[in-house]
Amino acid sequence: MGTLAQQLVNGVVIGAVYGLIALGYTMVYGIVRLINFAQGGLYAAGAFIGLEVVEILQAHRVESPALLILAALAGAMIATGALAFLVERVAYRPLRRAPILSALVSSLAVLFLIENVIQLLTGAQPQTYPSLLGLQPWTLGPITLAPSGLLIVLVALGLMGAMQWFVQRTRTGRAMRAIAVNQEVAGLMGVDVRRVVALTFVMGGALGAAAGVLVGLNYGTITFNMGELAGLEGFTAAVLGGIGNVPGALVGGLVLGLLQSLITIVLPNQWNEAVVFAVLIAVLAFRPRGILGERVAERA
Amino acid sequence: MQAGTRMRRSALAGVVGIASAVALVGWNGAQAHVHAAGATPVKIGFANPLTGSEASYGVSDYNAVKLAVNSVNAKGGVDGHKVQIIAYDTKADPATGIAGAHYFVSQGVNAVIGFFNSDISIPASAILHAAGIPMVSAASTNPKLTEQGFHNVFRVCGTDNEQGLVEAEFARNVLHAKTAVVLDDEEVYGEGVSQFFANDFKKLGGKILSHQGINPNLTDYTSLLTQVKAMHPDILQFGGFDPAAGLLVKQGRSLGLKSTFISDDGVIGPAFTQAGGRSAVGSFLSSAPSPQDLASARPFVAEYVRTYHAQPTEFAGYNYDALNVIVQAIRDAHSITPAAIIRALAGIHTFKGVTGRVDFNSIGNNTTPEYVIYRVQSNYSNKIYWNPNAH
Amino acid sequence: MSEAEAAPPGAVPVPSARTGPALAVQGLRVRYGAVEAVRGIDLELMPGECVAILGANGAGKTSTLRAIAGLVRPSAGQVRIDGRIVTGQPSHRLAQRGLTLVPEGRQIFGPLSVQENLELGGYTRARASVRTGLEEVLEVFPALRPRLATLAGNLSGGEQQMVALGRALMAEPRLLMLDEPSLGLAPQVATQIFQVVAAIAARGLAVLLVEQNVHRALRVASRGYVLELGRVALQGPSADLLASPHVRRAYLGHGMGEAAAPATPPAATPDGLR
Ligand SMILES: Nc1ncnc2c1ncn2[C@@H]1O[C@H](COP(=O)(O)OP(=O)(O)O)[C@@H](O)[C@H]1O
Ligand SMILES: [Mg+2]
Repeated sequence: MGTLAQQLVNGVVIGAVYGLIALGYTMVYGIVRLINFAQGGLYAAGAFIGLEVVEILQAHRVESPALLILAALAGAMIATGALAFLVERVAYRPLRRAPILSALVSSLAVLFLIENVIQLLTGAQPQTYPSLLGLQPWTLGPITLAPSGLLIVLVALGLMGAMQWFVQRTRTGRAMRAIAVNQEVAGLMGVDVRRVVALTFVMGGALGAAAGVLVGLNYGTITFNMGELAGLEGFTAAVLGGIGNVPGALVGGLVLGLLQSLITIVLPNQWNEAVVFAVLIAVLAFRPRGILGERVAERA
Repeated sequence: MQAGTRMRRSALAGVVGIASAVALVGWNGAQAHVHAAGATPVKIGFANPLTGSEASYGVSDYNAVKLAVNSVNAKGGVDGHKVQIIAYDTKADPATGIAGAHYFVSQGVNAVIGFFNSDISIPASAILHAAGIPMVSAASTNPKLTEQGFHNVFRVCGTDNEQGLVEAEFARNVLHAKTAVVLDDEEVYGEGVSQFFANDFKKLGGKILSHQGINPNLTDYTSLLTQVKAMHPDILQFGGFDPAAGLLVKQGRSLGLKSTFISDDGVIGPAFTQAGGRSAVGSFLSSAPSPQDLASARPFVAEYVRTYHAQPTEFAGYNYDALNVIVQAIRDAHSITPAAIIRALAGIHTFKGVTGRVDFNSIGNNTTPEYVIYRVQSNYSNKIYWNPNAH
Repeated sequence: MSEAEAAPPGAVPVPSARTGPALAVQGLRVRYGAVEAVRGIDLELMPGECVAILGANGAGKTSTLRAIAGLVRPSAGQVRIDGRIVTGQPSHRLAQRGLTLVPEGRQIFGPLSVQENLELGGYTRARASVRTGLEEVLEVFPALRPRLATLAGNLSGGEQQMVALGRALMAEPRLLMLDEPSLGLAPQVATQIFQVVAAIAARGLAVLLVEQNVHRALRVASRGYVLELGRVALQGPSADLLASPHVRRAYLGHGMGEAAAPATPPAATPDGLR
C-alpha cells in the first residue's frame, strides 16, 4: 500500500519531467508539423547552462537558493531559447520548402551536434548540480517527496497553463494556430510567419531548458547525452497525449510516468524502457491522435 | 575494474582526447627509448593510453615501468641484455590500440605489457598469440582475456570475478548480512561482478531477493528503489560505475532505503560522491588496493614520488610488477626468445612483487591478486575497511 | 500614363481626381518551372473602383492575384500600390500596407472558431479597434453572430465564404482582391455573396474581383479585363464588354456560369446595389 502510494508519487514527478519535454515537441509540431528531435539536445543544453549560471552566481557569493533556482531557470530558458532560435535559422528555415524528412534528419543532426559541443566543453564526465533545495525530503507516512520533486510538478503545471493560455488566448498564439492550418493565408492576414515560427522554436527550447534545469536540481547529475533517452521519452509522452495538443503533453507525460513506475511493481526494471517503446508503437498503431487527440486539423 | 570503465569510455576517447590531451611532449603513436649498448637489448612493448581522457592512468603506468627498467639496467640489465621499452599510445581507442599489437610484431619485441583497456587487450592478445609473443596484462580485468586458450597471455592484476567474490565474503562474513538485492548496469564489467557476487553470496548462505539490470543512462531510479525498499534487503549490491551508483544511493536514501550499499571500483570515481553527496558516505567499495595502501608497495611508492613528484595511480604497481615478472622469466629461461619467455612465465609461482605474490595458474591468471573493501569516509575519501588477505 | 487617361470613362466617382491608382501592374509575368502562367499583364485600379478580371479556367487569374499579393514572386514586371513599388515583398508586409486577398476556395482556418478567424483578419489592426471591427463585420454578416464560437470548419460553404469575406473586411483594406468568391456555392448563396461584394465595392475601397461568372462580375464592376492564356485579351467598361461579340461568344453564349443563372436582362439593376 505504501509502496503503491510512493510509486504514484514517483510517477507523477518523472511524468512531469516528460510532460515538460513533451510540451516543447508539441509546440513545434503543432505549428510547423516538425518532430524537432533537437528538443532533447536543447533540454541537455538547458541543464548545463543552468548549472553554469548557478556556479557563476555562487562564485559571486549569491547564496539564496530561491534566487539561484530562479536565475538558473531564467538564464537557461533565455539562453536555450536563443540557441533554439539559431537552430531554427540554420537547420529548419532553409529546409522549409524541402520534404519534411529533410528537416527531421536535420533536427536529429542538431541533437548530436549539441551533445558533442557540450561534451567538448565539459567533458564526458557527468556534472553535478549543487543541492539547492536541501537534502531532506518530506515524509508523509510511507511516502517521501523531495522538495525539488514538488517544484518539478508545479513548474510543469504552471508552464503548461501558461502555454495553453498563450496559444489559446493571445494574438500571437492565435497566429500560431493559424500558421498550423495554413501558413500562406496566415501571411495574407499580416502574420509574419517566419517570425512566429521562430518564436515557436524559441518557446520549445525554453521549455526544454526548464525541464533540464529541474532535472538537474532534482536528480543532481547531468550528462552531455542526457537528451537522447529523455528526448525519446518526452516524444513518446507528446505522442501519447496527442502531439500538437498542449494539455495533452502534460497528460501524456503523467500517464507515461505513472505507467513506468507502476509497471516496476510487477516487472523487473529492465522493462522500464521497453514500456516506453511499447507505448509509442501502440499509440502510433492504434490511436495516432493520442489521448486528447489532435485538434481536427482539417484544412478548410 | 577498469575493464568495464575503459570499455565504455573508449568510444568517447577519440573526441575527448583532442580536448584534454595531456601535455606529453612528443607522444605520437610510438616512441623508442634506447638504453642498451653492447649485447642485444631486450625489447619490451608497452601499450597504454598516454594521451586522452585516460592518460592519467597510462602515464603513471609508464612512469612505473620506467622506474623498473632503470633499476634493472642500473644493475647491468638482465643476463647482460639491457632492457629497452618501446612505448605505444593506444589513446584508449580500440582501433588505435589494436594497431599497436601489429606495430610491436613489426618491431620484433620480446614481450609486451598492455593494453590497459580490456576491449583492446582482448583483440590485441590474439595478434600477439599468432606472432608467439608473450603478453602480460597489468590492468585489464575482464575474465575473457585469459579464457581464450592463449598460452602467451598472463595477467598480474585480478579479475572481475574475484572482485564479486570478495564483496560476497565481506557481506556475509563481516557484515553478517542475510539478504541482498543485486543491480547491475548490464555492461560486461558490472554484470560480471554482480553475477559473481550473487552466486557467492548464495553459496555462503545468503539470500538474493532480486537481481535486476538497470540502464545506467537514466536519471530517475525512484520507482525501482521504491520496490527495493519494500523488500527490506540488508545489502544493495550494484555492479557498474560511479554516475549511476551516485544516483542510486542518493535516491535510495531519500526514499528511506536503509540497506548497506556495496559496489565495485568502477564506482571509485568523482561522480559517485558528487552525485551521491552525503548518501554515498558509508558505502563499501571493493577494489584492488592502491599502491599507497599496500605495505609491500611502500618503497615503490616512495621512489615513485621522489622521481616524479606525483602519486602513482591504481595500476602503477601492477605495471611495475609486470616488467619485473618478465625480467624474472628471462633470468629463469636464460634466453630472450619470446617462446622461452612464455615457457618461463608459465612457471612463475612465487614471485614477490610490490603488489604481492605473483602466481600464474594454468590459464595465466594470478591466483593471488588482492582485493580489499574500501569504505567511503565522511570527508569522501576512501579508506581500506577490510582486507581478506590481512590475516 | 497621365491621371486623366487612367480614369476610365464610366468609373465610379473617385474621391479626388488627383489621386493616383491604388494598384498599378506593369508587364507582370509569373512562371512555374516551364509553364508561364502570366505573360506580361498591365492593369490598373483607381481608389474606390471595382474592376473585374475575367477569363476561363487556367487563364492566369489566380496567378495574377497571387503575384500581386506577394504569394508568388513574379518572374518579371512591377507591382505598385499607391504609387510605391512593392514587387516581391512578402505578403504580410503587403497586408500591413492595406492589401487583402480573399483566396480562391475560401481558405478559412477550420480548427479555429469563427470569432478567431475574424480576429485574425484584424491582425494588423490596433488591438483596441478589433472589437469595433468585429461589430462592423457582424453588421454586414448578421448570420455569423450566433456562430461566433463555432469552429469555422463546421460551417456551410456559404457561411465559410462569409467568414472569408468578413475576415478580409476586418483588415480594413484599402485594396481588396477577391478570387472567385462564388466558386462552388449554391446559386442562391452565390447571389447573396454577390450582394455583399457589391455592397463592399460601394464602400469606396478599391476592389479587384476575379470571376468566371461574367454576367454577375460585370454587374458589380465598372470595368473589366479579360485574360486569355496569361495575357489581357480585352479590356474596357463593363457595358462595352457585355456587348462585345467576343465576350458574348466565348463567355456568355456557351459560358459555363450562365447555365446556372438564367439570362438576366443586362439592363436590370445589379444585385444588391442601392
Ligand atoms: N503552383 C503551380 N505550379 C504549376 N503550375 C501552376 C501552378 N498554379 C497554376 N499553374 C498553372 O498556371 C496556369 C494558370 O493558373 P491559374 O493562375 O490558377 O489560372 P486561373 O486562376 O485563371 O484558373 C494554369 O495552366 C495552371 O495549371
Ligand atoms: Mg483561379
